[in-house]
Amino acid sequence: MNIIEISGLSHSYADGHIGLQQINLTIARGSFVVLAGANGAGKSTLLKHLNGLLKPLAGTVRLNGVPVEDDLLRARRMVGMVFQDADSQIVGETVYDDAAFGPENLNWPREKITESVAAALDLVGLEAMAERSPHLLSGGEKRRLAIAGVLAMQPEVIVLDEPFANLDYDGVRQILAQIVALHKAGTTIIVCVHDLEKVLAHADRLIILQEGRIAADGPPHQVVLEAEAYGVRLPAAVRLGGVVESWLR
Amino acid sequence: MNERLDLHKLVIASLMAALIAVGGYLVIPIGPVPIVLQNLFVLVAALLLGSSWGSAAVAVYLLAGAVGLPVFAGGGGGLGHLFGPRGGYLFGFLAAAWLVGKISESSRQQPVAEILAMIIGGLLIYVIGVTWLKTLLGISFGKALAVGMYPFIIGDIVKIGAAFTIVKSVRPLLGIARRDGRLATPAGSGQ
Amino acid sequence: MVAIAFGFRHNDTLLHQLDARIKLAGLVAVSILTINANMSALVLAFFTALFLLALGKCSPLRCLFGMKWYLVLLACVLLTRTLTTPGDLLIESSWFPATRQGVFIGLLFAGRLLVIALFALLVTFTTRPSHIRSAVAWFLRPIPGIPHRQVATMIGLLVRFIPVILTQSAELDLALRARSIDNRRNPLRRLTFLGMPLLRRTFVTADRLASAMEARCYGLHGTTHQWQVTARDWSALGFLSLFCFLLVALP
Ligand SMILES: Nc1ncnc2c1ncn2[C@@H]1O[C@H](COP(=O)(O)OP(=O)(O)OP(=O)(O)O)[C@@H](O)[C@H]1O
Ligand SMILES: [Mg+2]
Repeated sequence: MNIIEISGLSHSYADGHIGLQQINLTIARGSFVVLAGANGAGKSTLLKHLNGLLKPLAGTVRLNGVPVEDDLLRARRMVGMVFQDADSQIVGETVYDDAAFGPENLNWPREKITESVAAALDLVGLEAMAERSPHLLSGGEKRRLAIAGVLAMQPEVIVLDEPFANLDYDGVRQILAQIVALHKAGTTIIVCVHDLEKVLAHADRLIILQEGRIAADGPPHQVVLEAEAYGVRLPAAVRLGGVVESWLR
Repeated sequence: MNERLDLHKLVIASLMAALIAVGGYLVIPIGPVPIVLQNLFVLVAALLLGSSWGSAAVAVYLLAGAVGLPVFAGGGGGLGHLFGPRGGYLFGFLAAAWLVGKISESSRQQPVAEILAMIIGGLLIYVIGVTWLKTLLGISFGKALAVGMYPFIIGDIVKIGAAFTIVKSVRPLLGIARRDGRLATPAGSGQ
Repeated sequence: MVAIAFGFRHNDTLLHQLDARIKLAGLVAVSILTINANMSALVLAFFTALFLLALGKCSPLRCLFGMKWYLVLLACVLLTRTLTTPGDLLIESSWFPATRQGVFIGLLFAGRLLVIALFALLVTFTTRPSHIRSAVAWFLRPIPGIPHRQVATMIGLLVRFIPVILTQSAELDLALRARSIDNRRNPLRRLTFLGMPLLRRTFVTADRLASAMEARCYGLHGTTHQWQVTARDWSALGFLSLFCFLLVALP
C-alpha cells in the first residue's frame, strides 16, 4: 500500500533555476526512507512538495491517492515536517505553547490538545521543560521540540530535513532513537541527510538525488555502493567491506 | 493562494514591528544627537509591505505597547507612552507608514517616487509629533521645532538613504520572487 | 537582553492568577481615566498602583529600571511646565522662572503619565505574554473588520522576534570585530557592514518561519484560549469598577 505517489514532478524557482525534473516515486506505508544527495541536489525542494509548501510546475503528488493541492490542510496534517533550521521553526513562547501550535491550528478541542501535546513532549523527553522558553534550549533540545511540535499533530508520515546537523554524538543518538521508535510504532519516515553513516542501518530504502533527478533508488546495502559517484560520502564501514552499524548500539 | 501570501506578509510585518521596537532600543551615538532607528524601520516597512500591511506592522507595534508589552523605547509604560511626549511621533509613524506605502504602490516602486514618498512621510511624522509636543509641554511652535525636529533632520536624510538601500537589498529575498514562481504554475493547480 | 522582552516573572500572587482580560480592561480604563484625572484622583491612583505592585511582588528596583528613560522624559515634562506656566514666581530670578502654578501643573501632567506607566508595568510583570495576546484577541473579536486571530499571532511573533534580533546583532558584532571592523573609522560604514547582513539574515529567518507555520497548518481558525472565570475574578471586576468610579468622582 503506497502512502505517497509522485508522478512526473518538476519544479523551477522564480529565477529560472530548475529544482526538480521528472521525479517518479512511490513510498510504501510504514517504510523508512533515506534521501541523500550533495548540497543543492534538490532534497529540500522535493520534501516541500509533499505537503504543498511548494507547488509543482508539472506533475502531481498524491497522498493515499488524493492530490496534495486538493486539500492542503489534510496534506499538512498527514505529513509532519521538521525543517533543516530548528531555530526558525519556533513559534510559541514556551515549550508547551510551541508544541500546541499545530493542534490549535487544527481546531481540536482543548482536552485533545492537552493530551496530544503531553504525549508528544513525553516521547521526546521534554515534559519537564514545558514551561521554559524555547529560545533558551540547546540545539538538540530545540530539534526535539520541533519533532514534538509535529508529533502533536499525529501525522502519518514524518519528514525530517537534516535532523542531525549541528548535533553532538549524544544528540544524534537521542534524535535517532526517537525516529526509530516512531518507525516501530508504524509511522512512515523520510529522512534527508548528507552523511549516510548515522541512519543507514535503520533504513529500508535509500534514494539518491542529483541535480534534481533520482540518480539511484533501492535497498540501502546495494545503493550505498554507488553513493560516492553522486557526491555522497561512502560510510567508512562500507568502504572497508563491512556493513553500517547502528549508532544506537 | 491568497492565504499563503498573507501568512508570509503577516510574518514579515511582525518582524518589521519587532525591528521598529528594537530600533528604539539601539541608539547610535553619532554627533551631538543620538540617532534612533525607529523611523527608519517605519519607512522600510511601508516600502516593503505596502500601505495596508506596512501600517498594520506599526499598528501592532503600538497595540503591543499599549497593552503593556515592553516594546517602547525607554522601557515599560503602556498607554503612558502613547499619551506622553513622544506619543505624537508614535501616531505619526502610523500615518506615515500608510502614506508612504500608498505612494510607493501607486508609483509601482519607482526609485524617485519612493524617495519622495519617504521625504513626505518623514515630514508627516514631524507635523504630528511636533504639534503634539507643543500641546503637551505648552511651549511655542518655534521651541517645539527646536527640540522636536531640527536636531534630527540630518540624521533623517541619512536614514532615508539607508532605508532605500535596505529595501533594495531585502526585496529580492522576500515573497515577490516567490509570487513570480507561482504565476508560472499551470492554471488549475492554483487553489 | 531577553529580560527586555519578557518582563513577566512567574509567581503565585493574587494578581498573577487574575484573568488577563480583567487586567487588560483595567489597564485601559484606568489609563484613559487617569489622563484627565485631577490631583486628588491622581494621588489615590498613585498609591493604589504602589499597593498593587507590592501585592504582585514586583520589586521597586525592577520597576525603576524598567522605565528609567521614560522617567527622564517625565522629568522634562515637569521642568518645562514648571518654567513656562505663567503665575506667581517661586524664586525671584529671571533665568529660572519657576511658578507655583507651574509646579502644580507639571506635577499633575508628569504624575498622570507616571501612574499610567506604573499600571502598565503591573500588568507586564504579572501576566504571561501569551495570556495578554489571547486577551487582546478576545477584546478584538466583536469588532468587525479586524482579524483578531491574526493580530494576536502578530503580537506573539513580535515578542518572539525581539530577543532573536538582539541576540543576532550581538553575535554579528562579535563576528565582525573578529574581522577587524574596528579599523573602519567611518561609523556609517560600520553600520552598513553590521546592519545589512543582520537584516538580510532576519528576513530569511522570517521567511522560513512563515513556511514552518504553514506546514503546521496555521490558518484563519484555531482553538482559542480557554478562560476560566472564578469568583475572585468577578470580585476583582467589582473593585475595578469602584476604583474607576472614584477616579471620576473625586473632587
Ligand atoms: N528560493 C529559491 N530560489 C531560487 N533557487 C533556489 C531557491 N531555493 C533553492 N534553490 C536552488 O534549488 C536547488 C535545490 O535546492 P535544495 O534546497 O532543494 O537543495 P538541498 O538538496 O536541500 O541542499 P542542502 O543539502 O544544501 O540543503 C539549489 O541549487 C538551490 O540553489
Ligand atoms: Mg536542504
